[in-house]
Amino acid sequence: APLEPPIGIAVTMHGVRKVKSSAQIEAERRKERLIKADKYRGLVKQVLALKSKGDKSDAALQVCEIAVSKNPDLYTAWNYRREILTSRFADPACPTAKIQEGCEAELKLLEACVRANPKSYSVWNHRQWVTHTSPMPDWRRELGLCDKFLDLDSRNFHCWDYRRYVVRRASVLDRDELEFTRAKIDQNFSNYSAWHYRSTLLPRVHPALDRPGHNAAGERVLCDEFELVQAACFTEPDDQSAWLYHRWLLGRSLQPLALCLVGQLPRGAALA
Amino acid sequence: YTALCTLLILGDDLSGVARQPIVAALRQLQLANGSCSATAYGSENDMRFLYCACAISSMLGDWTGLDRERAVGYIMGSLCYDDAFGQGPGLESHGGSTYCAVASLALMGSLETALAGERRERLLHWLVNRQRLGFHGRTCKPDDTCYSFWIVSSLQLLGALDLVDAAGNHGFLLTTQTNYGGFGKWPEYPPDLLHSYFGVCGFTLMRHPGLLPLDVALNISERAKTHLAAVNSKCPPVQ
Repeated sequence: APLEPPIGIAVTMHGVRKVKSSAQIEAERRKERLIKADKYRGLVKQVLALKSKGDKSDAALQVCEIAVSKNPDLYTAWNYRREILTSRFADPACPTAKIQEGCEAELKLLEACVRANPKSYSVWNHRQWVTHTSPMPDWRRELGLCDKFLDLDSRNFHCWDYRRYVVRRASVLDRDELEFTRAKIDQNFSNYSAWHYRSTLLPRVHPALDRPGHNAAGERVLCDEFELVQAACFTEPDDQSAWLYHRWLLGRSLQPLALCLVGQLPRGAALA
Repeated sequence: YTALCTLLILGDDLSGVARQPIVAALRQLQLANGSCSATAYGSENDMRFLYCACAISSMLGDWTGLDRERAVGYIMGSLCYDDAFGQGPGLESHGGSTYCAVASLALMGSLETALAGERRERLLHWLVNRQRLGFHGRTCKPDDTCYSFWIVSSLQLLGALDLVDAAGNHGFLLTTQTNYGGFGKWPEYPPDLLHSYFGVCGFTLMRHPGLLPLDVALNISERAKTHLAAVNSKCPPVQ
């Protein structure tokens, strides 16, 4: 969260003008913040102390949970949770159902944290570990989560990157993802991240684009793409996304020069 | 990376730094694809940590901890369809990762060979188009104080600082400077240390009087860089 301004300064945050506070209220707020910071520092100290002792109890998990709920970027706490869970899951006596349960609980905690900070590297990274470790990951739900967060912020690259991971693991068809980018672009032409993703999918879905020489299939795909891009340029002419994609498309439609025939006339000969 | 920078800025002679373990750690942290992760306990791996590894190797004068060929391979594999660099292959181009890529290549001595001719021109085109008034890090995002460092540094490393509209940049940075000091990320946003540092860097790169020049590849002042050179000249060369 952004810092609170000091005494008496009005600030516009997200378009909402804050009312100037009295010195008294500011002093109280400052005191509250110091107490909060102190509590948090104590929590971090606890996490580190337990970790250095190699504590793998439920109590340790609980302390970590409180810590990441206050600060989702606290890597150490996530890594510590991973160490505890990994050692529990590795126990041959641990049934698969227990592992599944543990992973589900972790996903629930992660979802709460990602709401608080949708751009936390450590949260998305930990979620990737959990779904990787889970005996029965629900990839549909993971895709749904990505849909939700991309609706909130279509430029959230953490979410786009996580989506690409889910797509790989769940063997989602490139064709379906291409459709998804189309849906996102139709929603809003100014969606650079969707255009970018489309640029990586298009050549995979239509390998004809990469085959040299004239081919009808490749031409058709390119024409359709050019039409889409043109629509975007007309609708949002000041938006760079479509223009950059257009330039990339043009680069793809260039046919490389190929030597077809090389000949040499004998000395003294002339072309009849 | 930040610990070494801080020591140098404070004028430390690095005699208390155990260099070999750091270099050995880098070897552990570089992955098969050439990128680096942050810690042995596990983290994501991307251009940011690769940059840190390059900067560390450069500062210690010891490149034995990093497979440079693989590192360059990862960087070039992260070139996007719009000619700038993402955090990794297939990922969206971004001002921060572009700086990390360009600076890493510069530190490894591969900048001229890796980014020459048309490729350099196209990257310059992307970088220059990140300026509206100030700079932003991704296409169609609002200008943000810190990109006055990430983007402008990249341009400087590529020898194209003259392509910056200094007046526009200057004007934008003045709007993100707050009444109680420091810089926020956007106009009328509260200040934070990161944006305050990069705001000052933004002015430094435009040769604002009274500010020490920056060594853009390492992101420390030239004064600290000179000190580093003096410290390293007293060290035995790496075998």
